[in-house]
Amino acid sequence: MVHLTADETALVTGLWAKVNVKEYGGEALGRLLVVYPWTQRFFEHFGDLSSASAVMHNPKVKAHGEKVLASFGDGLKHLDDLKGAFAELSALHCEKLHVDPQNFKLLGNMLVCVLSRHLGKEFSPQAQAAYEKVVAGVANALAHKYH
Amino acid sequence: MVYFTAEEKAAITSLWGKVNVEEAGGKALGRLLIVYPWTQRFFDKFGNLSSASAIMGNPKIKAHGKKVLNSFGDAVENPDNLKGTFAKLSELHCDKLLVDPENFRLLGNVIVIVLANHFGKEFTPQVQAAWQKMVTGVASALARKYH
Repeated sequence: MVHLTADETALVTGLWAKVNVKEYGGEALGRLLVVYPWTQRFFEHFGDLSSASAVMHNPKVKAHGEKVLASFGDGLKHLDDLKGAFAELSALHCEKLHVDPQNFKLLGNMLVCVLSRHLGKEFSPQAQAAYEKVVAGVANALAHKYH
Repeated sequence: MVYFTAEEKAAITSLWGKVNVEEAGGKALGRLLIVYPWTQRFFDKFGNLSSASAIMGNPKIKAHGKKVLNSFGDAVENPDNLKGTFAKLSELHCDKLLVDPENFRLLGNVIVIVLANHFGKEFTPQVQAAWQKMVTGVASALARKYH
């Protein structure tokens, strides 16, 4: 369970309002596939992933990135119960998708990088600390139903 | 051993040429101490670390951050021999400084986030991938002499 102070929660939700979920989601997932190439194995059926620019422009990667980030955004409404909020997705990623939960941490790092890149000065050290807590919490929640 | 392509080396050195080492080093070390507060244990003698703004304004943190990032510059110049380049520092961190090598990975990630924050558009997925390799390589090299 993630414990955010009132200030941290305010920082997280305040900055989230400025996030372009479609754009940042596609970028975060694309960057994951470029920076950690082994993650491409989960998206072999997505078409052309043959170069960084192919990955970043791939419409399926963009669409899926948006979907993933939207679900992250939903999670932000349930910071007091991330495990409950992500229980079904956790079971899905374990039983059907067979994704090593380490990858949730990598994607979380990627999201923090994307936020840092876009938000610049606004992504203060305190904002970074709050978001790193949240992505760690989401990664744990997604791993919780693994068996 | 970490292998960099010619393009990756070019991406790394080109970005490094634009980095203000003093400023970026201080920011990276400061953010490490804020985002991962247990790392403050290594800097008990540095004075006021009582808040995010105390940390970011702390002159000893800024000076030490600059020193750490300067030594990263050696990595940029010797990408094919990171282990040799960091052999002495590795022994120092193990035998004298008693630093858990996991912290090298954490600092590496923070450096990537600070670069993303500063360089925005220029911090393309390919540049990020090259730098992620670099920080991972340095972290491994620093851990190599541990026993």
